[in-house]
Amino acid sequence: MAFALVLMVALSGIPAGAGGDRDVVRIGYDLETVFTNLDPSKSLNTCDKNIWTLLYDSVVREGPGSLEPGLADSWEIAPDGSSVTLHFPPGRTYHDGSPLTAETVRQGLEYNADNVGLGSVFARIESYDVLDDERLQLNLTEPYPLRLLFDLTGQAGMVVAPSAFGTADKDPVGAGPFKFKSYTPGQTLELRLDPNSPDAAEYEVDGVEYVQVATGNPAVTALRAGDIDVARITADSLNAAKQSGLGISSVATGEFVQLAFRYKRGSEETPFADPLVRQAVSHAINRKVINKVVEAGTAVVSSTHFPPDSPFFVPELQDAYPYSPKEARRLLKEAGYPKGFKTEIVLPGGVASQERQAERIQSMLAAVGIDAKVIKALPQDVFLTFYQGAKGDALSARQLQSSLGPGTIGNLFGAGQQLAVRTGAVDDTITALTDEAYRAVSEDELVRITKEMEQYAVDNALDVPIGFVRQFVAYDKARLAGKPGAPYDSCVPVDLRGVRVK
Amino acid sequence: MVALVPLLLLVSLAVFSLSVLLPGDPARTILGPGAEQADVRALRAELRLDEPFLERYGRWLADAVQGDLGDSIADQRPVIDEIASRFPVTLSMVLGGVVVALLIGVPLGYLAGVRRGTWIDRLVTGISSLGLAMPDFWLAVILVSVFAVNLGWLPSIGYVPFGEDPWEWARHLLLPWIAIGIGASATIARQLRGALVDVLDADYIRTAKAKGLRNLSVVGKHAMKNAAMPATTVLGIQIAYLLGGTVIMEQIFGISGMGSYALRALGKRDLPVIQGVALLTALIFVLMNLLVDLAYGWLNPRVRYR
Repeated sequence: MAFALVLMVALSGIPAGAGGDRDVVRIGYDLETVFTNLDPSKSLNTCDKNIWTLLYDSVVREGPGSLEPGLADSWEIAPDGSSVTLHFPPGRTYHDGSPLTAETVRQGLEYNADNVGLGSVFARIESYDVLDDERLQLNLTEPYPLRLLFDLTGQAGMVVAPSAFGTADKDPVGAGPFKFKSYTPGQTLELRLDPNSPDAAEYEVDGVEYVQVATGNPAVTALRAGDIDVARITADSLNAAKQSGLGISSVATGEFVQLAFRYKRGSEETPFADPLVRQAVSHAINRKVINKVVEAGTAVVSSTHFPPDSPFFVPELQDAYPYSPKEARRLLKEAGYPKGFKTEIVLPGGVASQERQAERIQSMLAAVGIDAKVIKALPQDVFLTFYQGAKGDALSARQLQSSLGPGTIGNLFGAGQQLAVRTGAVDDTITALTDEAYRAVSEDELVRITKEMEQYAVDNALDVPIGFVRQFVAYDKARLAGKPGAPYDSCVPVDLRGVRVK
Repeated sequence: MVALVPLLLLVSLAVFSLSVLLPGDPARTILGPGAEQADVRALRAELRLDEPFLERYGRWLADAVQGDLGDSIADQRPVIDEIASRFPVTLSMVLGGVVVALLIGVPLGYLAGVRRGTWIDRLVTGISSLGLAMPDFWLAVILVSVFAVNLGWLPSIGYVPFGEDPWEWARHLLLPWIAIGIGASATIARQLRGALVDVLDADYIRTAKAKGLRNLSVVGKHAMKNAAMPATTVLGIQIAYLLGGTVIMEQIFGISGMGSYALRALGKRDLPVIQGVALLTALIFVLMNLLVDLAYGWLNPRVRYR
């Protein structure tokens, strides 16, 4: 032990090796578990967008429920929805200096089309017409122009420079604000600001270095030790981060916690096939208590599928199902279950907050007569257990909001959607409205139809949304000036615009 | 060594069978529950997941004997490349821990053995009990809290390859070495102490003393060699176990080694990686057994293989 102590003191005196440029922000990130591949044409993980957004940008950018210019600074949709024409500004280049033109973007999109995971996206594009250096027309197989544009905000629209085709997994070249420096899988990933990027002026750092650290308390520990400058944290780690004097920023996201139901088991309907039963469950759940137990009171409780700052939000529906065990019992009686019924519910376990949620939901349902046996699954196996394993008739899980509003509800209850098919929850009205929404040629029309979907989904309690989680980012106030912005989506990078190293 | 090939075949077949029996569709797991069914079908076809079991296993085996363990489904990187880059990381973490364990455990075991029944023996027994009872991950968290967060002497996370910067390599691994080493040293101290007590009672030791040999020579040259044999066996098993995966340590210290690779593969139903790691683990156990046997031969010439 004495030897170890001497060694420790001796090594602590050695100055740290060259750790990179002085003005590089070190971001703690679970590269090991969450990040897979630098090449959007190869990756099967859409959440790699966290890195791709900085490297490649995307054809169109995603705002909360809206489209914003990306590589394309504007676009036109044909009146019949049969095509979309993208406009690219002149003079833009990739990191290797080659020009970004309509032709190179076309090549980049076709490169991504090789990814088997993007087959359904690119199946919507029948052909490409390069009208000139600055305009690319996408001719669609089906008149779903806005759906395609929203798809191009993600993996499908991350354009790799032609010089990096086939090698982008090791040496990526894009047109994003940051260019590639180095990558050690599972350990570190370094990017440097591209001074030629039109977005460069918004950043005050030389670059970013992603450093491997597991999410949660390990990230807080690394921040306290000064080994990283910023990291996402969960609500569980919030108190520890605050007590350590770390800076915190947060934003309410579109990711919502919900109870989902199995409507049918084979040909036999479960009690949850009856909307009165689902409405009863919605009244039985005390959303504020669940928020306090699972999200430390930080979530935005709501009965809706869209958060208050979303263009698709319907304010009158936010409290459509106030907590009322009495109303829940009345509805169950009306549905023919005066004494309640037995069921099984799949809940994530293995994490303290999720364990507490399981107990609370079970007791809330018991209070109205529903005897719910809890089936616990590891968080990463919850969908496997409920949807593929067909265990349980109800599930508590987090749902990511689809970047395209109608998809948030359409993906849960539309015809052909796996989540709906496997639970017998396919709804013809939602299917029809989803199709109508996808055919919209203006964002106003899209918003109108999506709100109609929301009204229907909430009125019929197709599921039970509980609340919208917040994303938290903790940062070292001693080292960083400015406030890193928490991303509204777990697959979007931390916003470092306006942040600099002191 | 002759048994190595059939053993590896058996392990690979067993792991392949169990992996196939794992619940969940790997393609659906990778693409996510909301992925379009057409995309899932296309991925299954690309990965040839619908081929008959024996055909898939045969194809995998034919590639494996040529050193190709396939590509990870999750990140599309060759499994053999990932193992080649991660194994040295785990190896350096584990071997350093073993060195610490020997530096602490051997002297303690020696002292307790030669001072049997004294307060030194009782003290060492108490310390080793504490070491055995203390979970290594708990110790790791304490070490990080004290030496990285509060004192700022050492980094809390990360790994620097030895070739890149030997000092930083050592600085980043010192806390894991200590966390691993302390638990292992307790086992070594106990084993050595017990074996030494037995050996010191043997007739040949009494004979050596009667012949007038110095105590240091009797214990150091004669007793220790025989007492080391059971401890060597335990050490070999411990090393093999640690090399198979130090998941929790890797999570705490942000080190991407074999343990986290295996854990990620299980979560994502990444069959090529599961197979590759299982094979490597089997190989490690066999090699460690061989090294232990060779060590026996060095320690005791009577058991040397001809």
